[in-house]
Amino acid sequence: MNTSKDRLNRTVIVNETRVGTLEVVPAHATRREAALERGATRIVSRAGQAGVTVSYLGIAPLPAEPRAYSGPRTDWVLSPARRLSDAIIPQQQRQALRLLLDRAGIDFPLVYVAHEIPKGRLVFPASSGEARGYQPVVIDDATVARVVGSVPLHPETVAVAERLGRRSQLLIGVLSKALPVAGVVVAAPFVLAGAALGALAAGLDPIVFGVIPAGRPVDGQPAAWYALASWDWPYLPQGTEGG
Amino acid sequence: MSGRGIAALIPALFACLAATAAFRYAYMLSLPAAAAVGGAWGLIVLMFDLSLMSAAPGRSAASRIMTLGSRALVSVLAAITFAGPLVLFMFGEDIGIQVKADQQTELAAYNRADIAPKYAPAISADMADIAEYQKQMSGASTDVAALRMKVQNARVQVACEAGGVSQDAGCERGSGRVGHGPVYQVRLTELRNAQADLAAASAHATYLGRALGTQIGSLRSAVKVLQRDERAEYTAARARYLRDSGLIARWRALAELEKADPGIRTDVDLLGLLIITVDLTAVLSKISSSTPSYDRVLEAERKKIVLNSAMAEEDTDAEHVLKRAERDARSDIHQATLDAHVDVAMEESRAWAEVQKWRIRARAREDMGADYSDAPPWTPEWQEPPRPRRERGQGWKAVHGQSLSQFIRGSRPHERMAAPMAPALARAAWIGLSLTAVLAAFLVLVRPAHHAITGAWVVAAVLAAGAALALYSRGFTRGPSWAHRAAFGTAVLGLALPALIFVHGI
Repeated sequence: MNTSKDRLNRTVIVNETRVGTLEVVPAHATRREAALERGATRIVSRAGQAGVTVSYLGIAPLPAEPRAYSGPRTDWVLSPARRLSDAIIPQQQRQALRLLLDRAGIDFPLVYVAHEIPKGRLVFPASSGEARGYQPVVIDDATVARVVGSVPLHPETVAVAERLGRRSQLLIGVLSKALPVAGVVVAAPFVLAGAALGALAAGLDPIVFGVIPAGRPVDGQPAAWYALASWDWPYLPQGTEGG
Repeated sequence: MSGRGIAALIPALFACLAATAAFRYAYMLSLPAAAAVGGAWGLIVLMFDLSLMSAAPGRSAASRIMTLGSRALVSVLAAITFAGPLVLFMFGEDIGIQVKADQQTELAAYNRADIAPKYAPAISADMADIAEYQKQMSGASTDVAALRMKVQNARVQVACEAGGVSQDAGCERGSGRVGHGPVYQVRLTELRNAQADLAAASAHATYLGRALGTQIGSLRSAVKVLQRDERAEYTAARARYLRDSGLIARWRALAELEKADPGIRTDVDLLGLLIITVDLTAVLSKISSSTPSYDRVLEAERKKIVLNSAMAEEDTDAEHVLKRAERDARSDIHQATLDAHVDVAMEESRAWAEVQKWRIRARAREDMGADYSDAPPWTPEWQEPPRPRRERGQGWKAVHGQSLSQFIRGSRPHERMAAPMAPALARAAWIGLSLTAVLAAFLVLVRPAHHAITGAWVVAAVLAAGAALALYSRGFTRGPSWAHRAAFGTAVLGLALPALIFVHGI
């Protein structure tokens, strides 16, 4: 997974630089980019002092719309953080982001989230394939929601639900023997355990980017990109994804 | 002023009065000096109590005990220090009488033990010597008087013998013959002897009177000196004892009064307890309220300060941002002006190049006899071809996203993500909640008959919690792990509570 993340980071920067909409670079934009470059070291240092590891990725244009990137084994979707499922974060990474905000005092004006999706969920145009160097494809939010899917449940919550479901089944079984009328509520299969042999869910490798634009947050505006947090969603049977 | 302020002021006033009375009465300071000391002490106590009331100790019990315990210790020590003098002040009249009695007793004892043994032997010895000397002088005078009587008698007997009188008129037996015969001579000799004895006795008496009189005089002087010294020492001791009404004497008198009357001891103890209690008013007031108004006021003040600081910081930040924006704008305007100058220069160069190109082309066509249908741009016939223009807004589409703070504020921990409940768990929870509701209804119905049903409040609490959980979990359909556990607990309690209530409750 880490290799995929590194590859994605490089791909994002390389592709955006190559196909970005930076046609004319005014002098002030150049100055701001230089200022962003200079400030990157300070931001990374302050984050490190707060106990949070932040990686500076470089300068790249802002995409206003979600974009999909085709990779060798998996595809990636990069979009501004505005979906509800984007806000579900493991406690450890959430704490790290809080430290970044509260202790280091760093507030990124924009946050982007990248999701890894399995091959086949998103159909790329033929011209955007490997032959063109994995150029990004602009997609809409509905497509993002469809291909990324929902956040899988936490394993401990799933384990508790299954364990208590079995015990409740046992409890109802005892009641049904004691009270025949209770038999009508017995014999319902477990929803969670029933899908134990399902295929492993994918799209489980989000990365959170912090972005500082050089000016107004508009499409194509040069911005400094930082990798703030990443984690692996646990592999769970299909059907256990949360809403 | 709130009750907390009064609670801090009362011990201070009381401490001021106690210290003033103590230093005035017990330590005999003048009233202004005692009042100054009392005022200083009252001010210290006031500052101490205000600090105590306004302090916000840590939430831990150790911190509160440390803060309040130190103040309580000071209060107790100060109360003990000032309670005694106040007690002496309040029982002053009785203590004064007792002190006088003690002084008299002690003076008599001192006189017996120290003064009298020191002077009495010398005085007695001197007085004995004087008596002895006076006795000797008296004996000599008695002898002289006896001899003088003997001389007078001898003279009478001479006269009787010379007159011839015998055994008559006081005359002893004589010769009875007139004249100076042998008997007369004898009588005359006896007279002369008696006169000689009288002269000798008179001389001895005179000698004794002269010699012993001097000694008696010196002895009497010595006795007078001793008696004067004794009186002086007694006077000094009496003055000392009568003047001895200090703190120790009064404490001793108070102890004697307490020993004589147990009620006084009880009064003293109660007075000391009252002083300690009043001095501890601030501490007791602080302990008796978990959210003192002072703490709330302080918290509000702190929040106000923090708010003002944050607003000032925001204003400063906004001003800084504004200045930076203005600086950037000025820079952008300057840069745009320069860019415009460059663009104008470039356009001038390009126009000049075009002119030169058209001139060359025109010269060539003129030389080659070509027509002028293709008018150059500086001629009125020339028309500028349409330029490709960028559509308004193209490339400036705003990015709608969240900042990191918004992102974190709207985030939820993955560990608390709601998961669907197993249908069996949902059914069990509903069964348990229903049984609990039925049990609660039953308890309400039978309440008039069984006034004391143990555990009824547990049923009500479980029913309320179960209903709230059902609402939260959307009818026991989904929830985080704690909601699953709570649903299972609702089921178990719903099954177990009826048995518990019926076995132990009714």
